[in-house]
Amino acid sequence: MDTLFDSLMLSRLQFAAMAMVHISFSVLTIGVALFIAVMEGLWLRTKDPVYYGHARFWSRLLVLNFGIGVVTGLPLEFAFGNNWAPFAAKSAFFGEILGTETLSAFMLEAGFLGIMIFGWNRVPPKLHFFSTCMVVVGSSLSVFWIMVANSWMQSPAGVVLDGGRIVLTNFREAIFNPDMVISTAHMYLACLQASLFLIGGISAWYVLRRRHVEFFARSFQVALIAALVVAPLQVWVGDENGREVANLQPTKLAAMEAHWDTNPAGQGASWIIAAWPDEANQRNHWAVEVPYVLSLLLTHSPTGEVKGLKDFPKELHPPILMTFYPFRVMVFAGFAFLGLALWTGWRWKKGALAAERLAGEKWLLYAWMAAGPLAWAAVEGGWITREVGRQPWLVYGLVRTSEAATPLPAGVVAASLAGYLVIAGLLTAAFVALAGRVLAQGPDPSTLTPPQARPAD
Amino acid sequence: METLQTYLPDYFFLALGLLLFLYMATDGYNLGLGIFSLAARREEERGLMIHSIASTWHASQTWLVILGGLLFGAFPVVYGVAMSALYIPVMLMLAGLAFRGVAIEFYHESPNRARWGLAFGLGSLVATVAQGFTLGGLLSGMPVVERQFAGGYGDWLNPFSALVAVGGAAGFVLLGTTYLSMKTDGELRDRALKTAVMAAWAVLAGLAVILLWMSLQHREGHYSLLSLRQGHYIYLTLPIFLFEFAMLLRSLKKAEQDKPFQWSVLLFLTLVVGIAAALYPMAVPPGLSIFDAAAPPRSLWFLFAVSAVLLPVMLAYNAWQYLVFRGKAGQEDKPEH
Ligand code: HDD
Ligand code: HEM
Ligand code: HEM
Repeated sequence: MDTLFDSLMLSRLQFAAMAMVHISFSVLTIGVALFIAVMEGLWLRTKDPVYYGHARFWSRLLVLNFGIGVVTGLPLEFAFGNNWAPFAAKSAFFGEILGTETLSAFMLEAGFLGIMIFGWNRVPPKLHFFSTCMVVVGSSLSVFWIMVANSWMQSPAGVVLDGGRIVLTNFREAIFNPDMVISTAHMYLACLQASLFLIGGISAWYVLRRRHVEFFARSFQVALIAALVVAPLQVWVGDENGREVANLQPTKLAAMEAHWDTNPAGQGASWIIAAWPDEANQRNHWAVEVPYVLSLLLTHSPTGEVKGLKDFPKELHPPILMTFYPFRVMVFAGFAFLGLALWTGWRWKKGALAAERLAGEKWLLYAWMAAGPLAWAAVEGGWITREVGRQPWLVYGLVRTSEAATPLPAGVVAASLAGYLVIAGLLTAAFVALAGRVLAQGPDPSTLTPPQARPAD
Repeated sequence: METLQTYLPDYFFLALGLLLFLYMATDGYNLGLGIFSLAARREEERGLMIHSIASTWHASQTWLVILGGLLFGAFPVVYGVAMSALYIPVMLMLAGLAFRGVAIEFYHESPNRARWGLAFGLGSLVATVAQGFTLGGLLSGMPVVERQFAGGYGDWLNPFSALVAVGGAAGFVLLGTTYLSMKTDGELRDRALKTAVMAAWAVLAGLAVILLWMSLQHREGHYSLLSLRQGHYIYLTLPIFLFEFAMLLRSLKKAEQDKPFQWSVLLFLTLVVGIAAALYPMAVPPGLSIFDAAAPPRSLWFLFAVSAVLLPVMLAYNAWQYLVFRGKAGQEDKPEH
């Protein structure tokens, strides 16, 4: 039993590491590819070469990012058979959704990426733009399907447990499970946010150093316009997501908020800003609280009931610290982005974003440079909240994580985990070095003007 | 519908065979080229090799992703059993593929090309050998109890799978070098063709030894592919295989343009057909059949609809991509930086 436990723990760690590395790159693929498609579309419409230059410049970074995104996705797919074989064998629906994802999303992306990157001189501009759009459609579909699979694990619907096997009874219910729409929307916005704050931050860096100011003022403005739409939307969707969690997974919500005792009728539950939860004694050592706010947030009434963790048996409590603090990182980021977007919008109205004046807005530009890494932290924080908060369940209410792992020898999993960490570390370091080199070189003059003569295909 | 439903596992058996062939044929030439690149004489040569596959390696690898996805969806039990039994070679394959893929994307941006060139070659070699052990390990048979793998996690390491790994590596080198001979000219092309001849003979020798080994095992009463109900069907493809082999050698001798690659691809098709014919209806030999391993009917119908629509579409846009990048790998479509 002991060795099985070790091997289970290692499998969980390995899966978490693989997912956290993969997500760091794949969210950028999605958003940056969309940004490139927008730039290319603007170029085709306005014939302004600056847009063409942007499409080419960001493509160069996209290729580097894509390489790692793909090779880190592969182990994740196989992990379900490698480390979670009993789970794979048990639930047909999950595998079918992943199968559908590979058929509909990944090949679309892979089949058109070659043309998007290498085909500039080989196909006419409209066909090239079409290929770019297909890459965007493919990567966006992969968000959709993976979120279908994951949200079904969060709120399984359309299935029954039959002799230890999960059997599908209603397809539509399983796909459109209660958590699916809101979490897919939230995830897609997160992809956009992570990418646009990274693009805006890189642009801000160039402007600060007064390199290619006019060129990067343009991408900065596009990022700002997107941020003005996405940042408020994300806070709203995130709030809806939280209310959905309160409905579907009350244990997770209570852990996210370190909320131990259900508030008595007539009293509001307070919202905890920071605390030190003590899992053994089921209380908080200290807490900074705002009265009534938790009830208000979740029930839209100052005294609405919010279930506390003590209402549930202890063996159903998720780890609290790992749910409470990552959640706070994400929410802080959400509001920080909203603030940054509004502040920048205000400077825009004052005319401070014109290429000549932008470099003077030092603090604003610094803030944008910090926003890229913060968005990454928010994505990871959100996922940790979601996945750790689901424990001890793998499929909420149906399958426990502890009964889903392959009984591999612990040494084998330890070795593969160590190997994974070394390789992922090496490749990520190489990625950072090469992307840094591309940034230091700046846009290549030969790709800033569209080729005049194109093959008459 | 009811009668159709009984054929769904057969459909997925066929579809997975097709995907295995597509993966071997397409990523086979990428990986084989990677192995061949270890013998490159100058860095520019290696650059040209990497360049010749830069636009299509990713789509090739995606056939593997789809193979895994469809296997998971249609035969979840097989996915769990095979992937856990083959944990070690699969992990090694993933590590090899990681270096291979990243090296291709990083090569042209890096100030240190030789290092990434080496990562490309070694990654391809590791991935190829690990794939050989994976396939060999699966075909050497696995005990299954209550839908879970019941053998040892080192079972995949045996003489049969080692033979498959060596033969498979030779086969991929054959694909890689004949592909290169389509994409290049001059001295490099001559060398590729010479290597292809050696690789072709190695494939034939490997196959002969594997068949010999299997019939010896069979005669001694041990399990081998031949002891399956249809095991002997593998011999039916032999005449076709030998004919294709002769045609391949002829076209290599004449140094023809595209023919050597085409014959090599056909060789792989014949091999996959032979294995599939011998295996059917087993999914995990010796005892787990596709009917026992299949997902419930409702799931299969959905995946049937999705795959029957999307597989042809995928084939079409992949073909288009190959059309766009046809011809010799020259300087004209290098990324411009
Ligand atoms: C840029 C990224 C980002 C930002 C700014 C936010 N989120 Fe988020 N959040 C994610 C990125 C994210 C995520 C990583 O994408 C998650 C994980 C899974 C998912 O669907 O989205 C997530 C999950 C997630 C969950 C857990 C859902 C579950 O466990 O089922 C909740 C309750 C929220 N978010 C709520 C919020 C609130 C109230 C925010 C702002 C005020 C917020 N998020 C901003
Ligand atoms: C890509 C973003 C994701 C991140 C960062 C992430 C993070 C994590 C973390 C931190 C854990 C460990 C939880 C624990 O053991 O306490 C975990 C477990 C797991 N997650 Fe995710 N996850 C992601 C996406 C997904 C998706 C999309 C799926 C399903 C399609 C998924 C399925 C699983 C499974 C099967 C486990 C292992 C069992 C478990 O420990 O719960 N994850 N993930
Ligand atoms: C919500 C979390 C996830 C998102 C948004 C996401 C998105 C993406 C995207 C956009 C790609 C293609 C581009 C790139 O890799 O950079 C990709 C690749 C991949 N992902 Fe994920 N993914 C997520 C989680 C997962 C999980 C949990 C799995 C495991 C089943 C997975 C399996 C894969 C595979 C196999 C690839 C490689 C596909 C190829 O070769 O083209 N992903 N993912």
